[in-house]
Amino acid sequence: MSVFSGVTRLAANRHLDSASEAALIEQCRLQNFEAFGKIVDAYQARVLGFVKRMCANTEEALDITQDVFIRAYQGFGRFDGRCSLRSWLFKIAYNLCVDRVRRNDRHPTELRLDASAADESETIDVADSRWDPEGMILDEEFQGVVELAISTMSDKLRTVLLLHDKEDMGYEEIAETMGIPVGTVKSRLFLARAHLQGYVRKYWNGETVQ
Amino acid sequence: MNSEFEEKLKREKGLSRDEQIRLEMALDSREHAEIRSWVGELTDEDPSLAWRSALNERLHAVRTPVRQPKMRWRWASVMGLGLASALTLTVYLVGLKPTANPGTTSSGEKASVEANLLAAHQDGLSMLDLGTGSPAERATGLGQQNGSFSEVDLGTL
Repeated sequence: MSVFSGVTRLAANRHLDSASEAALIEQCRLQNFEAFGKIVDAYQARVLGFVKRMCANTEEALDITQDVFIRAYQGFGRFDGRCSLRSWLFKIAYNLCVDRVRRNDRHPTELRLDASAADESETIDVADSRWDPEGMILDEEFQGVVELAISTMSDKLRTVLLLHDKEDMGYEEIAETMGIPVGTVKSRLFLARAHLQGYVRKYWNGETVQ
Repeated sequence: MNSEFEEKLKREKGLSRDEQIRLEMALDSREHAEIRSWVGELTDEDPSLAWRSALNERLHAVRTPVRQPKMRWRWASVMGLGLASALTLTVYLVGLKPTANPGTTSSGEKASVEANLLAAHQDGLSMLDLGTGSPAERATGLGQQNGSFSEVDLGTL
């Protein structure tokens, strides 16, 4: 079904403060469409980023991200507020990714993030006129290495790394989201960082990373 | 970190108290903080407007309208008012309906009419006994016609 042109803009910083988020949640429980739209605005880029890194296929990631918000909209009546809205959305995203991975019988080592192919179709709006092209290229290249390293680790390690280091979720929050003990979250986080560090070391030493 | 410890972490087996502390310290180290910053600085991109538009369409499709409680009360009061009006109108129309059939009168009214008729009849009889017509007969002149004989009548006898 996807005929989307993919992602086109760098995500704007649209974090909601807790008071306005709580007000939006109350309205969303009554299926207020406009309030839900604001929540989508605030979280769409982060959820898409997470899902893209989890399933590696951009078109599939766009579909899954839509499903995340559809499920959230339909299930808002059951959102009891015991966890944060962010945790709840990422839990839905995580479960959908796991379902999709199971369905596709995907093996982590088989898929690689094809950074060059993905970059060709994207245009990036640069709002800051003081940008440094050389620095940006290096940053992009380094980010590509980090993305590649993330894409080659197992789903278990990747999920913990992204939720903790990218989304700033706590150990307990991640443990609750994934349904695993806190100690396991810490172990996986350590291993994920070790995996990433190994890739970056190779890159710095001039070795080819793939 | 030695490889033996890493292997233990990979197997996800329980760690001793010392190993847990060792793991905590490693996760909080500067080295790990730097790795964390690499991941944290990865950029996320907004999906396209076409994607958002498609999402809105799907959300509209799954949307189930929820009636506001205030609206429900408003409808209930309107319905109640209508029902009361209809009831009042019905009672009023039934009250105006003419009673063409005497059989449809109430038993109380019926008894009263019969009592009056009976009283009038007895009054009339007593008047006849006394040789005077009843007030009704006197008013209509029937009593004279019925109670006294004319000369023609006498001649025929």
